Amino acid sequence: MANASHEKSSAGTSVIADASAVAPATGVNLPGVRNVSDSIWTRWGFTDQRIYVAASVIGFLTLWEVASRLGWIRPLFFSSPTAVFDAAVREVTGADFWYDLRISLFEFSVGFSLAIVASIPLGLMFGWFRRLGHFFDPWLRFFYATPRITYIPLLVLWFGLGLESKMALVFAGPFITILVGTLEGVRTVPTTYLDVARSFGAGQFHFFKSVLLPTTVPFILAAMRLAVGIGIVAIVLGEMYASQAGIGHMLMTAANNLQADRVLFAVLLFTLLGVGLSKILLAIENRVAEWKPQG
Amino acid sequence: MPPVLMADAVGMEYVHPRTGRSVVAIEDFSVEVEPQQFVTIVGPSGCGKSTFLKIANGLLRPTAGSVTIHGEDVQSGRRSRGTVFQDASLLPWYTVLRNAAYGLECQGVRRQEAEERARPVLELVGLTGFEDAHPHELSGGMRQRVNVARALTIDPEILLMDEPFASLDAQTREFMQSELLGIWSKSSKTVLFVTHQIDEAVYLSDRVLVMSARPGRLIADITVDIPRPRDLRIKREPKFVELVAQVWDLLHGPASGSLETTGAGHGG
Repeated sequence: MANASHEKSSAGTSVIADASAVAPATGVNLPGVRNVSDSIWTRWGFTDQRIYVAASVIGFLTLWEVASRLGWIRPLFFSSPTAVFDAAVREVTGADFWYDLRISLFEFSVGFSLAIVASIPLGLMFGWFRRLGHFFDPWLRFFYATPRITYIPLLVLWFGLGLESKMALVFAGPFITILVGTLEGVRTVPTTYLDVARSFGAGQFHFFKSVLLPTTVPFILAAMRLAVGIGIVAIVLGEMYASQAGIGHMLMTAANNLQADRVLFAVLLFTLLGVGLSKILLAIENRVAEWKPQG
Repeated sequence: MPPVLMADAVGMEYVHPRTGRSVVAIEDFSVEVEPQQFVTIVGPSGCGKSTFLKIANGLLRPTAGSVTIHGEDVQSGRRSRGTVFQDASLLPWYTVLRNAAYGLECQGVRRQEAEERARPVLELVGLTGFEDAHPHELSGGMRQRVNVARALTIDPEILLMDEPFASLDAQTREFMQSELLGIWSKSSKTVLFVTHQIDEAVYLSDRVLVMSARPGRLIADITVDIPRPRDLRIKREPKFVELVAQVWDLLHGPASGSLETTGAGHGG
């Protein structure tokens, strides 16, 4: 948890790019060291990293397409990039897809929002009031350790096949994850800051605002980023296991009908949702941690 | 003039919750600090000098005796003292200005007004131009200037300083000592300073209170009659060296055997 909160986006220059950038600056023409800054690539604004990323993605997609067309792999099982694209176009122009998407997003946002709203105050309380924290500790450990997938049958039993069971499932994992993250954050508050605030006569509220929140928020955000992944897994599993609608339902139906292209389109959607939400949270994390030493 | 701070037979005893064994950290510690005096408590690690400062700050309740500032018990709330903590007590997410204003903000002063009042104090401690920097961008010495500014901004009756230069390198430390004297003479505050460095205590103070190892007792109250302003060069003068030697003998003299046995724990 602590590591995650200090994680920085590592985009930017790679080690290789740094090393080669140093060579021209020394003013010495070392034998065997290409003067990278003059190469056609850098003049066009490419950095090494971008080239490799692009080459990897384009290369893989091309290979997949070619393999599929030449019959090296069975299109029925493995599909192909163009087939997935066609499936995507067919889906987004149809009516069912938007209904399924709405259902999935609705389940996810309700479950996840409830998890945030419920877990943060509880985490703050359990972290701050030690005895309360100790009291609930066994249950937190228990639910943190339980594989969430095992709740599904029970949740369906309690909430039925409708949206509620999926909401409950999306709630469960993120709730416990964010709660534990918040609690850990509160427990890292250095006692020195407590002494400082007390010494100057700070009230509870001011201490909360000036010390507790700034220490804890990075932990909360890191836990939320973790929870996004957990919540998405929950929605997929829930909809695949028992549902009447949703992207997970569509995925399962497609798989039963041997429509690999539709399955892959659904996979792509969930991935994009996860990546997108993580990016947003990471941006907020960096924004919040602006005061931190750079590099 | 009545003393600013008065400690009356302060005692601090810790009882281990399970074993029931008790450790006496401070015993029968009485002292009076006169207005605008610079008083230093010096003693070995674990002698309870930091514990005493926490008591004087109202952060700890003594098990015997009491500490009053201008006749008011420090336990009873009003914040009449400004504390300079050891390193790493600045809030890293606040700028220098906000940190300097923090004490006032804690007391309920609005942020804007608190920051306006902190500006001249930052100027006094020589930090003009660094208002918008964050603590991690400053050197250790500069961070402690912010720490001093934070305590001064609330305009306290007394400054309590808990080994504020302990984490600085020797050179910065000496420089900060002379800077502190300059700031002190301009602000004309009463200071109670805690350190384990004898030469620091003698250089800064009007009075050096020498504390024994656990249980912490006052074993000497030495008046430093070296005229002010004091240049760092006085540290080489016979009078200074003699005083340092006197304190050293008190700490390491006949009772030195007990020094080795003081463990870590409260105070120090």
